[in-house]
Formats: sequence, structure tokens, C-alpha cells
Amino acid sequence: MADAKLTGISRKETLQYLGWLGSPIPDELEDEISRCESRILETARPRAVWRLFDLLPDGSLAGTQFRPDGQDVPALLKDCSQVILMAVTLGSETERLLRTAQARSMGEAVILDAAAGAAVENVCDNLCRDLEAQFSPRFLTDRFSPGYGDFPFSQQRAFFDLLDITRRIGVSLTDSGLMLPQKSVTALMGLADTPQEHRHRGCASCRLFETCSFRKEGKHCGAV
Amino acid sequence: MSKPAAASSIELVKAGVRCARAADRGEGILVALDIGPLGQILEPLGTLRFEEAYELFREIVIAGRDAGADLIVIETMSDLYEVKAAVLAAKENSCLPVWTTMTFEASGRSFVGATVSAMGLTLSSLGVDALGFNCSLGPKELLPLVHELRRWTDLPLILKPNAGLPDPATGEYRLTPEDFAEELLPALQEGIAYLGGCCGTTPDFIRVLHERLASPALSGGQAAAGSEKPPRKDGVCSATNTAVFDGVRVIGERINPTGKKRFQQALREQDLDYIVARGLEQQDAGADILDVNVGLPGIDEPAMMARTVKALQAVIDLPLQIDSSNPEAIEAGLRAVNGRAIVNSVSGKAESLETILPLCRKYGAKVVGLCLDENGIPETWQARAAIAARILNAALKIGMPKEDVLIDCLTLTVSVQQNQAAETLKAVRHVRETLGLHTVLGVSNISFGLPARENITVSFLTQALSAGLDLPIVNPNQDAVMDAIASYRVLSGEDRDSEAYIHRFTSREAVPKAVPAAEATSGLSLTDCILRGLRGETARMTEKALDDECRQRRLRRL
Repeated sequence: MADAKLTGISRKETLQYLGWLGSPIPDELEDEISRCESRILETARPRAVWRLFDLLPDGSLAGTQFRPDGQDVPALLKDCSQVILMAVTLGSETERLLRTAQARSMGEAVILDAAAGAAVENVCDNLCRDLEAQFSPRFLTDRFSPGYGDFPFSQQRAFFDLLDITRRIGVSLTDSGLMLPQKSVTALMGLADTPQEHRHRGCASCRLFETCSFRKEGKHCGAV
Repeated sequence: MSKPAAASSIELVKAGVRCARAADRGEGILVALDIGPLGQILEPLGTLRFEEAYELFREIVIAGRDAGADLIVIETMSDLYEVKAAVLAAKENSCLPVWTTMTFEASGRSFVGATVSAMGLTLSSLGVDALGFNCSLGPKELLPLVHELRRWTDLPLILKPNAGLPDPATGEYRLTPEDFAEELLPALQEGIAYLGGCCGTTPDFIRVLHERLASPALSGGQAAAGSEKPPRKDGVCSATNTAVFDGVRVIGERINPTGKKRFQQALREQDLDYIVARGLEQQDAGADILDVNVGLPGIDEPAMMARTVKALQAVIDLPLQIDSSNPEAIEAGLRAVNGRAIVNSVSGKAESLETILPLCRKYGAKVVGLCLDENGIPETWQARAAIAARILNAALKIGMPKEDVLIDCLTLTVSVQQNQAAETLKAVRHVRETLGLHTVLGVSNISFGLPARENITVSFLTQALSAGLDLPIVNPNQDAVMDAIASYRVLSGEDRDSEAYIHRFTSREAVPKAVPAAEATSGLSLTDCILRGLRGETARMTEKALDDECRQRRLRRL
């Protein structure tokens, strides 16, 4: 198990998960969002696990039966000789918090859920930063999860087997492909000798987040 | 080449036992049926029902029993509920010894949040033969958890750590066989009876460990270990929270249909949300344990009890007290509970002792004994104490430990039988000091029928606490009652430096009186109320709008 760190929650990401399109936010709601973010920061016990694999020319991971399907992953890994598989979770404590909130107040539960989504991204970002430092002077690609692009969701099972996720960080995969606890992420990243392009990671990281005319209509520009 | 068809669990178990036996070169090894997690998550986190998990484990247990396994080992579990299903399956379908080990993190909790104390209390009381830890961590990291577990059970302990922590880049484990054995030796101080190795260990690890243990230098250390056992702690628990019986523990009484029309309606409509809300209220008010009573004529009490227990424990982490006079409902509740419960109640009546005590014994529950019998409630404290002693003896006779018998000396309404208040208090003192048992008492009853009930209730409660009552059954939503308990905890020394008391009363002063809702919301439309998140007002305005709409339609039809 790696050192997993939750260092903060991006308000923009929380708002994005809440479906915010730029309308003014009343003070009481702003306070409630802050309170919910604090609750998540207190409650979450993030855990992470990762492993390094050599990448074979046919796109499969050396020593395994796993070859990511589709075009998007090979494109991401085109300069890479190795790939890192990673899994992150906020833990069952957060899951319980979210469930209890649903019994008390659905409104609060929705905000907590959004904040938790932003939190797990923060844990992933921190892990990626640590790995980048650890493997420096080599370069990491963006992280890419099963279900993104044409990387089949069904290949999530391979992560569970190769990382021994259930035993190492206590996350399970149901038959229908749902991870429990739900605030969990699996992803792969390539290691290359040259700098890698980083794409926008969702609207929250864009500088036009608050003023974007696409967002105001519930759309996006296609750069995400 | 086609893939071979998957073997059934029964075939796999039989083959496994056969292979293990074949490895015996005449040393007389024991072969254990090894049961691990099912791979599906149990309710409430997942969708697999406890009863379904039980059936799956039952299948495996029967296969192992029939294949000739010598014992059953349930291991690498993170979910205490899943362990319980496996333990019940093992004990109800075989006579083999049952060992259980769970997987924990260095924090002292399992991935699903189970605590070491909950594990110790629950599994010991379910009657396993040995328990401990496997996998998760290396020997050094597990030692503190072993030390903690020792405080909660007298049973033999098991320790099967990993060979340290794995290197993420290579996946390899760090400890050598010699390091591993060295790190494990301090565990012997805790009275570990069974040692082994999990991920990353090899036969070499076990061989080296065996040699180190056999060395004469160690036997002196082992003898000393027995005399240093820490005092054992006791209590009841959910999977994630333990109410330790070392002070006043408040039992919340509000989940009970008696005299509550709205609650009775909720039971008939199976409105679990309403019942859970009553539980949450009591938790917020400071209850340590929740009494659960769903007895109402006309409903299926056993089914409702199981459903209610599951609904409560999905959201509230307080231990539960199963309150019923129906043995089937009691059993349904005890089976569904995740953790260790109290049964309320058994009485001095022969039939009650015969039907209810065995259930408590089987499921490891503590039991509340009422000081009444076929002749009703005695009017002297001596006669009540005598019934208490009878209940205790009946419990001891079927193998229940003394500390699992809690006595309720019964509270009678003072306005009807005034001299009985003193008798109850004397009985409490005797039961506590002479019989050495914990006492339970529902105090609200004392003041029934009198004006300003709170004064009488609080005064009686305080006297009872002073006489030795430690498990009061109260309405935690009554500030005066909880204030009295907070005060008592200061005076008894339980609340060190009055910390909780000070926090309770200073935070109460800090909260300003809430603005009455009507003032703040007059003139708002329904849309405004929704956008502002005013739940109560939104509900009221919606109902009014629906009423108005119905009236309009009726008028149009005329």
C-alpha cells in the first residue's frame, strides 16, 4: 500500500459535480458546501496501491494476461516503455458518512457526495505527483481509467486481480462493475523518456470555468 | 485448447483436503477447511444479504466436514458481518473447532471499519475456539493490535502476518525468514497460541519460526507471559463501536410502539425511515445503546425485528438491545445483529428462563433479567434480589458467564405504590454490591401520573445511579435526564476533568435561540422555499397546495 494523501478539495470540482452552471450561490449554500467539504476532509481515510509493469510491443503488460483494449490507451502509451496501474479509495468511513447523510438530509447528502468526488480526485493528483517525483527524470502521461474513451469498463477486473485491490486497500468490485466503496478510482499511466502532453481534466481545471458560455448552456467545448 | 469447466466448491474442498492429507508423512498433521471472503460485499455496503452469505458458507462447511477436515479456519476477513455468517454456518452444520482471523490496517480498524474490540467481543461471544489476525501487515505492525485484542477475550490467539510490507515497484515482500521470526517473538508475551505466516511467506519461514520457538531460551519467557495479562474489558458493540461497561451507559428507549400512535403507524406501514430517524435522534442526544422494540399485534414481529435491526445498523453505529417477549423475534434480531447485543428480557418465570437464556447463550448476547416471576413483582427488595440470584444461577448453569447477566430491579409508579421506590433502590444496591452484577433500570415509569414528571424522574435516576445503576433506560431527548447523567459522570469521576460536562454546557450556551420559522418565511412562494432548502415549510406549502387543488377539482365537478 502506498502513502495516500488528501490535501484539500477543489471548490470548482465540487461545484462541477453538483452540476453548477454559473448561477449566483446564496451565502447559506456556500457555507453548507464548506461544511460538507470539511466533513469529508475529516472523515476520509484515503488508501492507494500501485504497481509498475513493463509494456510489451503488443500493448500488453509483461508477466500478465492483460492488454488494454481499444485505441485510446495505446495512443496514450505510444512513447512509453512501462505502465503504472493504480487504485485509490477514500475508504469505507466516507461511504458510511454518505449513507448516513441520506438518512438525515438528502440535500446534504448530495453536497457531501460531490465533495467526496472532488476529494478522491485530489488523492489521485497527489499520488501522481509523488510518482512523478519518484520516477523523475522520466515523465508520466495523464491517468486514464477503464470506462474513459474506448477503454472498456469491463477491463476493470484486471486491475483488481493485478493489484490485489480487495486485500490491499479494501475495495471490491461487484458483478455489475460497481466499485465499493464508491469513491474509488482505478487508472493507468505510462512512463516515458520524453515529456507527455497533458489534456484538460474536466471543466474544473479550465480557466474559463466561471464564465464559459458552453457551460452556461450545460454543454462543453470538446477539449475535455 | 478449451478451458476446463469450473469445479464446484464441493469438489474443490474435497480435493484440497485430500491434497493436504497426502502431504502428511506420518507426523499426524491437522487439516483445516480454509474459508475466505465470498468475494461479494454483504449488506448494507453491498447487496449480498446476510442470509444468502450464510447459505453459501453452509455449502462450503458441509463439503469440508464430509471431506474429513479436522477444523474450520475462517480467515482474511474484513467484514465482521461476513465472519458471523461463516461462524454460524460452521457451528450449525458441523461439530468442528472454529478459528477466525481478520485482516486489519495499522489504524486498528479493518477496511470495513470493524474495531479490534468489536471483533474480540463478538467472536468470543459467538463461541469460536481461537481468534486473531492474518494478512494485512507484517509482525511488527500487528503487535499493537494483538495487545489490544488480548484485553477483550481470554480465548487462544492466532497470528499469521505477512512477510512485512510489499514493495510497490516489484511486488516483493521485504522480510527474510529470520527477520520474520525475530519480529514475531514479542507476540508470545501476549499469550499467542498459534503462529503462522501469510502473504510473502514460504515453507522456509515456517521452518525457521518453528526452530526459534523450539529453542530452550524461550520457555522462560513464555511462563512469565501468563502472569502479565492485562485486565479484561467487557461491553457490547456494533461492528464499529463498542460501549464498554466501565461507567454509566445510556440505553435509549424511544424505539418502542407502546403508547405512540405515530410509531405504531410506522410499524404497520413498514416505514423504516421513521424508525431509523428515531434512532438517529437518540444517537445525537447521547445514547450509548439503543433499545429496539417492534412488538405490535397484527404485524410479523420476527420479520420486522430483523428488518429494523438491519436498517438501524446500516446508518447508526450504536450497539443494540433486542427488546421482545417473543423468542422468535429475539432470535431473528440476534441473528441479524452485526456485533454483540443485549436481550431485553428474561424473567424469573421458568418458561422464560428455559426459552430465552439458551438463545442468549448461542448468540453470545448479554441478557437483562427482570426481578419478577410467576407470582408477579415482589414488594420487598430481598424477594427481588432472590429472583435475581435465581436468574443468575440459571444462566451460569447453561454456561453463560456471570458478567453477561444484567439485572432490572423494576421501577414501579411512585404515585401508585409509593414505598416501592425505596425497595427498588435497595435492590439495585444489593444486586450491584453483593451479587456483583450490572444493573439496568427503566426510570421513566417512576413519575407516571404526577405533574412536572421530570423532577421525580431525575431525582429517582440520580439516586439509582448512586445506588449502583449503570445501564439506565431513558428518553435521551429529555435534556434534564441527560444533564443529570452528565453531572453524575463528573461526580463519579468517569468524566475526567469534567471535560464532557463543560463541553456539553458551554456549547449549549453558544447556540442562539432559533428564529421561529413562520417569521422568516412569511410571504415566500413554494418555489422560493424549495430554492432556499426550507424543508419543513416546503412540505407544509406543498400539502396546502394539494389540498387547495383537491378543493378546486371538487368544486368544478359540482
